[in-house]
Amino acid sequence: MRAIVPIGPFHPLQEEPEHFRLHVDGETVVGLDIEIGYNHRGIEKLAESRTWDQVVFLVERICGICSTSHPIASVQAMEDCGKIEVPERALYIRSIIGELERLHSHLLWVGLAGHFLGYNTVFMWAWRYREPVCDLFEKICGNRQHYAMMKPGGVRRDIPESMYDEIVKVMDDLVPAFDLFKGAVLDDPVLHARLKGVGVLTPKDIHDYCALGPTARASGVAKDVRRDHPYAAYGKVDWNVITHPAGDVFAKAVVRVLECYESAKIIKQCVQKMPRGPIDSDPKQIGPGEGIGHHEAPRGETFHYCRSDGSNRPVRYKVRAPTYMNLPTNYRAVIGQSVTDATIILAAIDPCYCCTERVSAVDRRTGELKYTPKDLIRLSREKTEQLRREYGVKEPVL
Amino acid sequence: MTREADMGGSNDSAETIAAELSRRFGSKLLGSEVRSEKRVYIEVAPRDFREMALFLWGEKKCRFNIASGMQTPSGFEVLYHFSWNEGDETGPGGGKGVVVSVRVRTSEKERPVLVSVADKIKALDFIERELHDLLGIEFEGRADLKPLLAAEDWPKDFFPLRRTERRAELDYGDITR
Amino acid sequence: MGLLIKALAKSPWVFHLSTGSCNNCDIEVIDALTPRFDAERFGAVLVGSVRHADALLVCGAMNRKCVPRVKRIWEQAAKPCLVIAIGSCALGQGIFRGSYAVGEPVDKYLPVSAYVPGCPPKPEAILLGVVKALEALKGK
Repeated sequence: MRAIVPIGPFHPLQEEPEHFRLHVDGETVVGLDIEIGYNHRGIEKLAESRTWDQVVFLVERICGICSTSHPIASVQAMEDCGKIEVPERALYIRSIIGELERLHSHLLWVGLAGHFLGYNTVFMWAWRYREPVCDLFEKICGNRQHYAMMKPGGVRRDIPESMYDEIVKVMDDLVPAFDLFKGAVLDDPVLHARLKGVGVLTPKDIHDYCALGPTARASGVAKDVRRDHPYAAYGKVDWNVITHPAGDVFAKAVVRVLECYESAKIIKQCVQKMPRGPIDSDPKQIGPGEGIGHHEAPRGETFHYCRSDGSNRPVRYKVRAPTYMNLPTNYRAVIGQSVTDATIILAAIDPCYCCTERVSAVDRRTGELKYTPKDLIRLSREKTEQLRREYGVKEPVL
Repeated sequence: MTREADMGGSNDSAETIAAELSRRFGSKLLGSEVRSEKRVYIEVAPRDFREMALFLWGEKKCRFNIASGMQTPSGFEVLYHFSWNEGDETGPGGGKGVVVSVRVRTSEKERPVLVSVADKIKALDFIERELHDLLGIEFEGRADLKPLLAAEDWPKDFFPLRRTERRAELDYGDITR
Repeated sequence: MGLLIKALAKSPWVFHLSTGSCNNCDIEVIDALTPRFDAERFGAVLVGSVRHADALLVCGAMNRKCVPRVKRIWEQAAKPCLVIAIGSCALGQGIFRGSYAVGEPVDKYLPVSAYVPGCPPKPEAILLGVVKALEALKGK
């Protein structure tokens, strides 16, 4: 029998500190501890002893899935600080790379959600459809992940015109895949029963926690850095900010799937409109001052701040990933919910991948470990199975 | 998919924002600079920060982005970054978002203390704890400053982002074997 | 022992461990299981407990908080268990070397049999690393 693909390490040791520790009373989550020190790598301190160029490579490795979102925010912070111009072609290339990343990230999330909910074919197919995007990255940038495309003043590599047709073709070929997920998954009555009304965040919750990205837009809060603070080529092409009023996990899934269509649209327009010309203004220094750069990463806004004294290293460098703001919304979203829904609610904000693997549940009264991460995923999948029996449907085969 | 009525969003330019803050806060505004059409930097004293934060977030419905703290030769400073003007109706290309950064300075060199606003603005909880872990800034007005990023075995006086912190390596005893 | 090694090499059960990283290596490890790369044709299966594992795939820069956990997991692994370090961070902490928040590289704590460099290594490289480590074991 084929082993279920578990995401990440699981270990039933009670004293193992977790990213998320749920406190349960019966089957209801009544409390939540969030601990995030496990991924702390001291990047801000490291940045103070790196040159500006090196900082861009460093921040790229904050997160693998939102790999280019940090460099985009980073170089914009440096350009803001040093009042550096960027050639127009480079702006379009930045948007193309940013949107390609959004595609692969959202597809990855759809796959993970499928895994947690017991839709293994969705997992396999979503990750399979990521591959053409990763291949495009490899052709453009030389690496499937960590693209090393951004530099202050522009981008490091050009997209040759010979690749334009291929990029457009990959986008056109992906649209049927988006339709597949939209149809087979979002029109599934079991998923409606499973996800609607689950893990709801109201617009007030979004405002209290200053949540962002699809997490906010799925509660009807229409904030998107690409539109609100236009940068790169986002102000020059036609696209929509996707929102959904319900605020539940279902809404978050809908927003992400629909954003895929918008990303493909943006990429195609950028390829068609991109002017010829230089891709790098080749600045020689970042003058003294302060700069802020931000980018709408797949999970929300990445925000970087830098301070320069005119030398070749930052005096101070601050990074804020989107999940930092979205994580605490779980205090609202998961408390009061059933433990069978805990995994998918926590995954719904699309946190750092390693956060989703480290969830456990302890009994509120005794403090004893009740459910390991593997148990919680199993509970989630069992609930889906039960609903499938009730509705008389089978797992969709795509 | 319909868009719900946006919270805030007013199409104010950076200049009008700076002017409004000046009118509202008068002499409490220790500094104000419009660096570009998207960047406003202002300064208030630590004791006035709470009022400023609640005005920006509560009244003006700004979104709090993050706070960046650092040690300076004269003490400590923290910049709180807010986004003003989001969610306006003008569509792609028309966004007039402005980042308003509020600087708060203290000349206390060993045990800096600032005022917490995390009871009202929940989004401030994590960053106040982080500023405490990494810079040793205390926040009065909040119940606990539980460590956020610090490992249990960090020395009590270890604040890695302080420039006066000379230790490059921490002594972890027999961690290697 | 010979039969054990033969069995292990034929169908390695692998346990994946992340020690504080950007997760790209972790994603590429999972990717190796998807249809395109299909680790299962080598008999490699990802298991949920280190007690069932024949090989430990370690990614990450060894964040200090993770070090006791890594040691504990190694103690629980049934020997023989191969340790394969995946990605620049696991090899030498990669771009994070020198940070106050990371300990020493994996091979200061665990006996590493194979190193798969890359940031991140491609799934093909990861599969090659696992296969090579197993071949080396068979050859013993």
